[in-house]
Amino acid sequence: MIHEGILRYRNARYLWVTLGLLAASVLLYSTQGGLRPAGGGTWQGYTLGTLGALVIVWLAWLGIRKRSYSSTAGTVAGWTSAHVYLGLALVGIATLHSAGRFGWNVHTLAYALTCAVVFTGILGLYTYLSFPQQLSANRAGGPRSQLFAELYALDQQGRDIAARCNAAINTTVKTSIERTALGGGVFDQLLGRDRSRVVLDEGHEGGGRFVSNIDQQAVIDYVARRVTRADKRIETASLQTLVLILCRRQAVLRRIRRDILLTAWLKAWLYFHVPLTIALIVALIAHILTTFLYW
Amino acid sequence: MNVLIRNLRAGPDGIVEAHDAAAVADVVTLGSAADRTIQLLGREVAARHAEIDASGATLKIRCRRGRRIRVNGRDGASVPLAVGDRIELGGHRLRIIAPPGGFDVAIEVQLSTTIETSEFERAFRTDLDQTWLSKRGASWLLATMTLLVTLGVPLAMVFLHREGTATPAGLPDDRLWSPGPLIPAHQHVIADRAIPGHKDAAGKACNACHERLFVHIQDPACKQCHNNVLDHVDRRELELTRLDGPPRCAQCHLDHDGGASLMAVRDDSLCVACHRDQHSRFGSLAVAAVAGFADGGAHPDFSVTLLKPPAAAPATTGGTAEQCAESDAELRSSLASWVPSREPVKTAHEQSNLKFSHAQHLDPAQVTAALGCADCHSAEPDGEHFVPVTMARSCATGGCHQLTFDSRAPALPHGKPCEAMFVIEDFYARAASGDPTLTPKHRELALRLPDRENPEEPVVAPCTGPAYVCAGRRAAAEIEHQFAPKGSGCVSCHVVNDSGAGDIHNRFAVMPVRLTYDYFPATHFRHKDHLVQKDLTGDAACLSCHRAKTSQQSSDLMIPNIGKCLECHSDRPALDKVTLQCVSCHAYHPMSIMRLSRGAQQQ
Repeated sequence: MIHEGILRYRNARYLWVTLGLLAASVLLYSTQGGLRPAGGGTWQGYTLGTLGALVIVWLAWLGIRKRSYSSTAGTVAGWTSAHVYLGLALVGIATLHSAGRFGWNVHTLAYALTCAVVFTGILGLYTYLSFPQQLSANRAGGPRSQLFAELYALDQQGRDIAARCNAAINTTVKTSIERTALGGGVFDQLLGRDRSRVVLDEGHEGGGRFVSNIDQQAVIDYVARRVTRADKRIETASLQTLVLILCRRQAVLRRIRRDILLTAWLKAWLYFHVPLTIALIVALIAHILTTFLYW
Repeated sequence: MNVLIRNLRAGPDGIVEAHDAAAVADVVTLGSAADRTIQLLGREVAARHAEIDASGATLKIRCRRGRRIRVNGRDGASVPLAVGDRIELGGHRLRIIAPPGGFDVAIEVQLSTTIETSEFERAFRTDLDQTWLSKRGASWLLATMTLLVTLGVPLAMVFLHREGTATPAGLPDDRLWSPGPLIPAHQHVIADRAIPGHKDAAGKACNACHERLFVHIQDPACKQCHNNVLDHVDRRELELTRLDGPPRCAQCHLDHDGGASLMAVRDDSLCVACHRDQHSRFGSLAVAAVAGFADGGAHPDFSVTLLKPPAAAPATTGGTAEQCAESDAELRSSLASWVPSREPVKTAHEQSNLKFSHAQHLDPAQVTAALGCADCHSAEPDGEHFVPVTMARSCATGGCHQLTFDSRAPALPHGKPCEAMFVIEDFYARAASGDPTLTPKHRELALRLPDRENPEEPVVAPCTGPAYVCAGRRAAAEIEHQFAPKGSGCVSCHVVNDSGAGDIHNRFAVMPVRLTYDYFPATHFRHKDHLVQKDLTGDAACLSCHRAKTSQQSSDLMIPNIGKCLECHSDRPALDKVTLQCVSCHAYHPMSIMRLSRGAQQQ
């Protein structure tokens, strides 16, 4: 798996590259203060700035490159490892370049965006390091599509059996299947919100109306109560099978819902990381250009 | 309407079986969602894909927006249907068949066998990509906003300002490009921008200094205000060198640092880069090589600038009162013709024309009241220089040196030797004539005229001739006593040329006195900062540098050489040394030479 070794890739080769880069940057920074006060305008500042800009461009390119699985240049784990460590080094280089001089200007904007990109990257790294194991455990080894196939099969079985039961049961089970909600909007996915609903039979609580069917509990409870009230043995057997199917369905839905939630979190950071990176590149161009517009 | 849905499924034996199901619905819905009347899975099928509507006169299939369906081999989004029409969607095949009795519509459905049931996932939005979140959209939005706010709008503002067009307040402008605040003194340059709705296009903005895009700030921009600053090198001297010219103002003076302390680059390397080598750049201009201020000869010995009297000494000629006044005035005006001369501290001698022994004045045994440095030398408000020593201010105070030659006589006028002679002659003439107004005025004063303890003591032999002759002799003797080299009056402190002429008025020429006010006119040295040196204070601090206690002659130059400075200073940080930079003592921009002559104006 990609996530397992990105920090320790080849004895943390890129950690040492990063530390070396940072040490060189600190050394370069410390030679300032003579001719001019430390800042982006000294030759050391320009060097650090150029280094930072090159790292930004390279990391952005790397972000695209490491997703190109057809590439033969290096492994995905290697690229990711380099991306993570150099991204962290960038904060140090940018800070040394700025020499701690901040203000409400385009230069600090570029710095702030750099920090924001790296911060979202760190969130991404955290999800990459911790969520895949949870995902894998939740799916019990198989892919998500298998869970959906299972759900589809259970839906069909549930419908078939429900069709053989009385109209009230049929309506309830059918609507519970039809109104089962998975995923949905941004917050539904990220919070794992369950908007499933069901129509319960007249005479029951909420009868004839759509009621919340969170975790399919309402429909299971409804059918389970009907098991004890069934008149005929055949009907009892059908209802028991139905309860069994609904419970299996509940378990599958739980797995799918958790899978969607974990996957959403695993990807959510990218919706900030990528646009912020693009904004950073624009701000970086503005930062460099304005430096030379008025210099 | 009543709908018959006939599902055709291949049984285990391969024979297709029909499974009929009835539905009551207003419209027949197609899609992969579980709530569709006909649930069809697959890559090409949306959760809610299409609807078959029989409410009108004819049967019609309508797709949701952006969806397509194939009817009888033709793609379409909204197609009228008739019995026998074949609908294809994502590999699934549907056919409109003639409805049996009791049904309004009958649809035969043959599901694709190649489509996995796992495609059911497509019925749901299970990925953030399917939500309003969009990496591409957010990227475009942020990139456009950043571009507009940081470059587009400010750049437009710049061009509008330069054209003289007023721009609305509140819009981002080129101040966003400023890397830091200006020093307070420069804030006024952009101050006009604070007026809402108005921006002065005449240059009260960033372009007041940044006149052209992509071009460094040029000196004329600085000299709009700083027009009285002298360049480091005089233009005529520059022509003697191989130097291109002085650097731009903004190479050393950096703003946008937010602090005035950073307004001038003070690093030694800036000076030493040019001054390290005396031969390569300076041509015929004699400039001593300087590599720093540390021990080891990095800095040359000091040279002082001393004022030297002109070669021709003024003569005292005063036959008449008018001639006398003219002579005295000439003596004073001759001070202006003294010329500054730079000499090494090691060999330089003062040439002030004053006779003075610091050692004597600091010796308690030789002066009535013990004197300290500050009794004569008081610092100027600048903390660097001293108020010039003058007769009136320093010598005559406290009754030390009165210019009285007789207790009945008025004091002699200082600085006017010719007039002094007339005063002496006048006094003795009046004394000879028995002027009753002559009464002792100074008897009670402790006169300390050199080598004449008793002012009443006659200095000439008794005269037996006519009174006016005796008075003339007496006056001549007193004038000689005052001015002749062997005398002890004015000549005690002043250098007097004795021509030996018979006419006493034309015999003596008092050399004008001029004390150096500023020994290092091109450098700073704050005496005030040196009043306490390590454990020395008061006179001890002064005497640690100036050898006044052993100085018998006024020609002694009591200016220390660089070695004295190096006892406490270095150009490199050290635990027991105070760090100095070139600009701690030297001014990059030449200071006015006026200081040198200031002392003369006050003497």
